[in-house]
Amino acid sequence: MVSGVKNALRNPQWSVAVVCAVCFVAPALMVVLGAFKVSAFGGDEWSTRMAGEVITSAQTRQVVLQTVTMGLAVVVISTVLAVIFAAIYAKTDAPLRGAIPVVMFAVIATPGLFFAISWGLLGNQHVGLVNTLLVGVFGDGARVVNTESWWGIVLVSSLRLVALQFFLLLGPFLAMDRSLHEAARTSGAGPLRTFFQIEVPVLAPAITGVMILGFVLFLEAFDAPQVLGVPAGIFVIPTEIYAYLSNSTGPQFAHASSISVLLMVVLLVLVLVQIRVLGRRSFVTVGGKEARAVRVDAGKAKWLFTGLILLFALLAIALPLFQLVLVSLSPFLGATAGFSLDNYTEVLTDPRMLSAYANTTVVAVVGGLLAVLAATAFAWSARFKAGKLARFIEFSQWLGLAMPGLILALGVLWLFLGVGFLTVFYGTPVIMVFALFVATIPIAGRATGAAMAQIPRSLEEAAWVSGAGKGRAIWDVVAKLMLPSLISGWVLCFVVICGILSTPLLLSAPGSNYLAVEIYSRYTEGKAPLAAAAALILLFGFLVIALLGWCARGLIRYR
Amino acid sequence: MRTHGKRASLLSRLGCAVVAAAALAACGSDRPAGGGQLDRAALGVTDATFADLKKLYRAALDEGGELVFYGTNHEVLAPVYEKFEKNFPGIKIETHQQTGAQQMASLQADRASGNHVADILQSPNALRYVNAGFAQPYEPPTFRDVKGIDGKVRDGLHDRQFRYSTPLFALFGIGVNTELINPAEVPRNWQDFADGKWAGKVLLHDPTVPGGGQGILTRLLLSNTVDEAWLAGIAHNSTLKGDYATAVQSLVRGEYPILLAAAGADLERSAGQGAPVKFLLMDKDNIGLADKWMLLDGAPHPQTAKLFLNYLYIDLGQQAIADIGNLPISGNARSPHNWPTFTDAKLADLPPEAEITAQNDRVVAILTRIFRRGS
Repeated sequence: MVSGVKNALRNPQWSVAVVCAVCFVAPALMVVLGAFKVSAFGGDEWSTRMAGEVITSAQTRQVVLQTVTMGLAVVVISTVLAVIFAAIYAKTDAPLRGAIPVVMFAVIATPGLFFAISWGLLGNQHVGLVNTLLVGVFGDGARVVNTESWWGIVLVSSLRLVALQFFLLLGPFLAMDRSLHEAARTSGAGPLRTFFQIEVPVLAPAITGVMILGFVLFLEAFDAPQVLGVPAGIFVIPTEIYAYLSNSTGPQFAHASSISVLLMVVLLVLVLVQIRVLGRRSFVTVGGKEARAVRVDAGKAKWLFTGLILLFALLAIALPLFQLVLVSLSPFLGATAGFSLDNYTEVLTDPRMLSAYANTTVVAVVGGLLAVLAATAFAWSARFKAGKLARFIEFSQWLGLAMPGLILALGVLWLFLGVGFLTVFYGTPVIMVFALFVATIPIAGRATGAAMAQIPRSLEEAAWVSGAGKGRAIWDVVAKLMLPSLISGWVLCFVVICGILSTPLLLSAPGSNYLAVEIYSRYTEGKAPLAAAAALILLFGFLVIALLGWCARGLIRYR
Repeated sequence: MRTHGKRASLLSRLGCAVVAAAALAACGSDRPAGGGQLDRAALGVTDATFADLKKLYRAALDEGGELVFYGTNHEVLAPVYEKFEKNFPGIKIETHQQTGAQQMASLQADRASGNHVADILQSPNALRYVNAGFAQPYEPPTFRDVKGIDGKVRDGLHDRQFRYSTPLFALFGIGVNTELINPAEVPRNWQDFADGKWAGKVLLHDPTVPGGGQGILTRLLLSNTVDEAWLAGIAHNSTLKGDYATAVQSLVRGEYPILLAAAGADLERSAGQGAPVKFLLMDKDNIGLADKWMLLDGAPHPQTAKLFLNYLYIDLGQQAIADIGNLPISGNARSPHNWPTFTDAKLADLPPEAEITAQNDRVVAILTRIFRRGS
């Protein structure tokens, strides 16, 4: 008995599993219970009626089918593009390849709501800029673009998703051992065959991981379906959840929770599929000093790649940003004259907005760092010893994603109110940081987990044999090899946290203004130009950070 | 260090002197401790009301001079809040923008944890929160003094226990893009918009989700101004927008010439900024959404909240409401947009709020059946 406990204590997986249970399983459990609670807060009455109504509803079936088909289209398009761009960046000498991360960064940094609104304006069938240009060139019959449609939602959602998937694939692509590539080429394989038959299969965990992540992110994405889908009569799960939560006679938390439980089930199925597809194959690709990506001469194809980069930049950045800047300079939404910097002045002289920038920065820096460090620890402990504990650690992190923002916030709220000693944290920043941590860790996990999967345990073991302690082995071997992925994961989490709306909307502490909430408030109150200016200032801040990071990296390399 | 000590000592003495001076000044009739002077002329109230307000003001400062609001439209209402802060110095308002599920969850979590955050909730859906037990009764004495409304109308502006009261209405009508259509050609009665000749020319905020579109159509139906056949005509003629801001934007950009169920305040603001839009009222059956305010149960600053609620009904507060483009209930307040007063606005004859709330599910089911496309 005692030796069993000692063994358990020696295995760090137990401690990590407990943390995972508290952070991910407990809020998810609260949401599951919430599906059966008659009263969302207080009361001990339980019923299966609400869940039954949701599951047996023809409307739900139709919406689920719509969501799944649309999600599949989005994920296929976005993953293919993300893999192509990651490969162009990591493996070719195509001109402008260095601009890809900048473009992707800008896409992620653009708030989803504005991305959807911008494309709603650009692709409007009547007065949209894209159609106006097409008509100018090809005549009246060329008014063919309509973003308020099934394919409009797919296009806009895919463009946004590509960026996140690109960053999550970048680490694994960069960390891939070049000896694999060289061995394939020496054996007579062409660059395309090497890429598709050697490198893509090796990257299967990372690619399937981002596919699942992309699918789940689409399942909970609200902005594009609401702005572009509702006018076309297209409803998906998030808009259905919104309908339950904004029911005219009061929010139907149990119904909304029931759909979230459905989402969790879909997610579990996806994860099981991933296990089944990948099995227990090894995906280690880092082999010591050879762990540097090799770039190949892409020949004439490099101009095709450059064209792709430019086209993507035009669609994902130039056009929406042009629209966003136009709005931010306008006295009112849709103005065609009277442009000025007044909205920027107003944002930068408003103490409430300034405190929102400061609060958001602190929360995102701390929350992002916590998420990346924790995700690294989880990934490391998951591979400490294969088995059920490892799988629990790995997959419990996905639960945070299976719950749409507001439902996750509710789950966390129920947890903090339900567990006696946690109640003191209600109304403090602790509860919000906790919820943001849970929401972001799957993204941090994708950034760090896939990179860790490529580092062989033998490297650590070699360090132990050479006399290094476990801590030093982790630092000298794991941390240093993973550093690019850790930093990109941190930056990614920082940007994602800055844009999360639903959690701070429900959980922010009194007196702590939060930027996403301030921007949203101004948008809903008809001050969209002010909101656009605030969002662009945030975006500018992101770009300054990216520029500083780029300079710092250059400086380190120079030294 | 010594120098610092001396400075600290000097500063503390100076501080004591300031506090003592403030305390002495507070003994004067109009200058409560920690705050400034109340200006009766600026407040525009009677001696009796001034005495009531002064008492509440002192109590508010004793509570710490903080006031926290839940609800929505705080950005729009900011000038009303600023006028309050200016006329009742030392009190600072903090707002939390929340609606729907977030609002309900926050209130319930506050109650469950015993950590009450907000003092006042402002919402057109007040009854939902009143029925859930979040309000405490309070009748602002100044509510009785509002000029220009008769007893029956006045009674419709609050519930029996005064768990909420209504200082203002958001006026809804027709928004037109003047570059696409001559306002004179636009019908001034709701019925005509169901005619097929308006097909493809009308915008509407999706009435299957909560918001202006749903609120207005619900009230038109419940006031018997329109029927289901009319709704079907509107569903055929109109293009739906998922959120209200997008609908206004589509009108301003000239995507469509007409926005049904447009809020007057939004249209007037856009027009004031140069947008080619105009707000039109109907000849009759105009719809005003009552904006209800309540003192929350367990409010951490109840006296400050009471002071604010009283401010909303004095002429100063009512004029501030008119200035931001809403419809105050007082006949004394003048609209800068030349809108009629509350009693002259020819509002539709609506059933009591309790009945509107009770009928909500049924009406939303009708709206969903008629307007939800693709299902």
